[in-house]
Amino acid sequence: MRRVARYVVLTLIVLLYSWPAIVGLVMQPWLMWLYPFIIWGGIIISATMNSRIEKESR
Amino acid sequence: MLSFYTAFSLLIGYGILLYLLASWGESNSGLANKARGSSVIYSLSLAVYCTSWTFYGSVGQASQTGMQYIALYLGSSLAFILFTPLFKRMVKIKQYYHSTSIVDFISTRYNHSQVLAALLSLLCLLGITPYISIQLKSITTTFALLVEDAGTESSYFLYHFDFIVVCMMILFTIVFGVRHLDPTERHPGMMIALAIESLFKLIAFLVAGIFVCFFIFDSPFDIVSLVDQQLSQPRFAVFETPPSISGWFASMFLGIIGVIALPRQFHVGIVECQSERHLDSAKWQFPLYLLLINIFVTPLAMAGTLQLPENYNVDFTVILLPILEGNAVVTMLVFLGGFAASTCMVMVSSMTLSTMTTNHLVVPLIEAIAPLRFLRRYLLYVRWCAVALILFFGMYYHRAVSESEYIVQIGSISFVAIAQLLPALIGGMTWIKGSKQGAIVGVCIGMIVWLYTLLLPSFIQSGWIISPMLSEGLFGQNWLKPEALFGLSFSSNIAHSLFWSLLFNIVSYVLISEYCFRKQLGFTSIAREFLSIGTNRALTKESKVADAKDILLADKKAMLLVLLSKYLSTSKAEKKLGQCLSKLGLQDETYINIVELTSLRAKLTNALAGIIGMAGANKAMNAISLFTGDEQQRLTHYYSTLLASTTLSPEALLQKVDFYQERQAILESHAQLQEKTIAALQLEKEAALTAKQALDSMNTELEKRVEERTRELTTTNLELTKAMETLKSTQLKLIEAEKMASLGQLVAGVAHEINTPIGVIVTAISTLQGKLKSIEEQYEQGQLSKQELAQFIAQAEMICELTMSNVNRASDLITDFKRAAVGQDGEQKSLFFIKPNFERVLLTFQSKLEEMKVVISLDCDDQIELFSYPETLSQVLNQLITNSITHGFKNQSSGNVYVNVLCDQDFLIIKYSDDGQGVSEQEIGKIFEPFYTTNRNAGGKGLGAHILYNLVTQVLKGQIEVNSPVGKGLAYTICIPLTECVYHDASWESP
Repeated sequence: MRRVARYVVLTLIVLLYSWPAIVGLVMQPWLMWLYPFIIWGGIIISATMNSRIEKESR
Repeated sequence: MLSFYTAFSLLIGYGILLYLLASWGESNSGLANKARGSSVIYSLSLAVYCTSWTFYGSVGQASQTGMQYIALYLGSSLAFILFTPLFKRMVKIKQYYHSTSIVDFISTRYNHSQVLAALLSLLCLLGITPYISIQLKSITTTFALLVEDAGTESSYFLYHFDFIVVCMMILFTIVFGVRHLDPTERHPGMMIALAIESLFKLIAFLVAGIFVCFFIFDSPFDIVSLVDQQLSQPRFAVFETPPSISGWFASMFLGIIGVIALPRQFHVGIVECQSERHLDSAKWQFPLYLLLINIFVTPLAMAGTLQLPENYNVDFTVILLPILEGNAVVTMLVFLGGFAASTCMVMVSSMTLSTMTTNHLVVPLIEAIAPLRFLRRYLLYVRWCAVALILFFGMYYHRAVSESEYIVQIGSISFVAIAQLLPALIGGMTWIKGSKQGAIVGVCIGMIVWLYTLLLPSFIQSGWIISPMLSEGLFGQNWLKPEALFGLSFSSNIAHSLFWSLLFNIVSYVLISEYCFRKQLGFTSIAREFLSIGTNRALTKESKVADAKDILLADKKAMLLVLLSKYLSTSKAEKKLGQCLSKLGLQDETYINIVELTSLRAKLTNALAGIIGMAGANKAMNAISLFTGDEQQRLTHYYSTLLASTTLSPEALLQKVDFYQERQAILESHAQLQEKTIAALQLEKEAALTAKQALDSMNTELEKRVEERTRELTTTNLELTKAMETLKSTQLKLIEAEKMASLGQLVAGVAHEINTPIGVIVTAISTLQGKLKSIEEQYEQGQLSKQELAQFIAQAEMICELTMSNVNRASDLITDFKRAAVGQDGEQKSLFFIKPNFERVLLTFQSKLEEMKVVISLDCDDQIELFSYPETLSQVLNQLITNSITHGFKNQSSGNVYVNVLCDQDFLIIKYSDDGQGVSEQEIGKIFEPFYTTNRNAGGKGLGAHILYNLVTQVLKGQIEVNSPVGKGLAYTICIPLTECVYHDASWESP
């Protein structure tokens, strides 16, 4: 179950990143620069929290 | 900007610093130990992923394709965050099999296939060499940019600079990574050097980004707004154009592949991983690193497009911008950052490739070709040669092909080649049916498609191969065009090659593996083992088939109950069966599986053995046919599956079972023996402990008592000492007082005794003087008559007689005083017989005794001979007899005296007694006192007994006692120590 959830999350994140490419969206240069990093930062923070939870549970 | 030698010295200095860092990392200092076990060092060393492709190539790609560059790093980050369990499994498998590289890892899964290992090594060699070449390209190009104005004198060195760099890299790799033969050994020094390099390149890149964004321009948004104003120009259009879908997804996928399957990444992430826990930290630290190193890529690409001319090499925007601004410090920092990015990749890659090449290509050749077998002993040097060959091959590729390619393009070619490992790797870890044949065929086909669709076009485009194949297709067939296979073209040739190569690879792998699995070809237990490490899913799945719970328990219970009822009452049989089911946890089950039925049978057999013995129980159990034919088959299948999973032959399994049963029996026996011994020892220990405690308690009590007693004794001793001193002092005082008193008494006695005769003499003389004066006057006057003269003469005669008698008395007194004062007049000791001595004394008293009718009886042995004072002893007897005559028989007409002389071992004893009037009780205590007498009126002086006492005690050193029983006279007992006398006998000798 956790494995399935992991792949679903992966797919969703990939789509989140990729939708401008998929839909051929023309973006402002600053948006093109910053938006991946904003999502990226959010994912890293989630991973950090997840890592801490795993360490504490261990 | 810099001279050749300055720039070169900079590189050498950097290399030395790196060496020192690595050496420190391998040292035993506390900080180095801490660093080796740090997850941060592990995460930073993972950043070997970021090579010059990242450092220089990302900005170049962003300048050409806008945001597509980021897809690669997003893919890598997501893979690392979401596939952590996969990486952990890889670490576990690697630790289990001691894999040395990704090729070793994959070939192990496929029954240690040498063919597959050789194939994969070749693929890696072909795939990674272009990648190494772009590192060389970046170093040589940036170095050339750095020393562009250096002059012609350095042009020769500059032309051959790639050769110098390769030599340096070979040296670094051998020193840091291939010093020892055992490739499973970790390289802590190298990992620390890599981590420092990663940190350095990140800092260098961020400094470059900050320098460009805030020193050349006002801010990143200033750059963005400038670009925004010029979007109408074609060269700026990329910054608002969305990336192609195929390129985007291909990059993302390559990013995922990169962190999983790149040999250097596998080495750093899996082989060098000390603990799975590091992966938990690296899960966010490594993506954070990727984010930071990419954050200034777009602004730098935009700045480069704004600042640099149209025909510049976009790959080197990062270093060109500071060069253009003339900032030497930032330029050098960027150059060294790029150098660090390249060197760490080259070192790790060449190390892993040399391991693969040696182990999977060279060693099989050595084993196959007899003349080469001497090389077995020189494998370390072979590995060093492999490092050199790989790097020179990379240099050759760089010179021949990569000049015409962009960095990212070359890197992507490598990534697509490495992607061919993925089906065999992931399939091997997750799919039980994955087979060696499938992996070999899949990798071969994938590699061929990669060569055809990607490597070949790059050779053709670089002019290395001249062929119209790109436009016309193989053999003029359009559907075989390398960049549009089967007529399907992609916007990115990387995506095209990746798609087709992986498609062919996966399809081949799956189909052939499925075929082989059905035909039972090449299936081994290693596959099951591989899948079971980290997860028991595969084994459980197989077990489930054999262990389906479909056996009705009630039927079996009925059969077993019938059996038990033969030997037990029904109620007891039901109870026994219930107990067995309860122990197995099956009491509430309706259906059970074959394993549980087997356990139940074994339990019941044991229970029955307690009643009828094991042989009988087995026979009875076999008789009821508990297992049906189908169940027997299933049990057989289950055991065969178990046997297969253990990779043991049945004989080996039986041997092991026997061995373990025997060992268990021995261990149980030993355990029982040891338990008994331990119990006995425990008891002994407890008893000893109790005794010790009691002893300790007694000791403590005793010590206390001794202390108390010692204290008391000390106190008493002190008191006694004081008392003794007081006593001595008192005694001395008493003696002194007694002496003084005795002396006083003596003097008073002497004065009194002498005074009387002297007084009489004085009176007589004065009377005589008076008479004489009167006569003289009468004579002178002539009146003296004859009668008066005769009367005077008569008076004078009487006075003279009186005077003479008193003078004599005074003289006698003085003699007695002298005797009383213990003077023996110099008498010497002599040897004499006592009896004659005493007889002489008695003779002197003979007339007096006859007169007074006193009879003396002397009882003395003739042979008693003394060495003493004979006169003193005579005086003693003399004094005793005198006292008896003077005082004892004073008022008696007769009397008897008894003298008895005895001798024992210690004393000479003289017993003297008379039957005179004796002495009263009040007087007897004073009898030895001087001048004490009851006969003063009759002229007694009171010195006789005193003289007697002094003679016995002071001269003869003896003792004298006196007693006077009423009416029985007086008795003396004198004891003289034998040291003072000798009994004349054979046994006696005189002293």
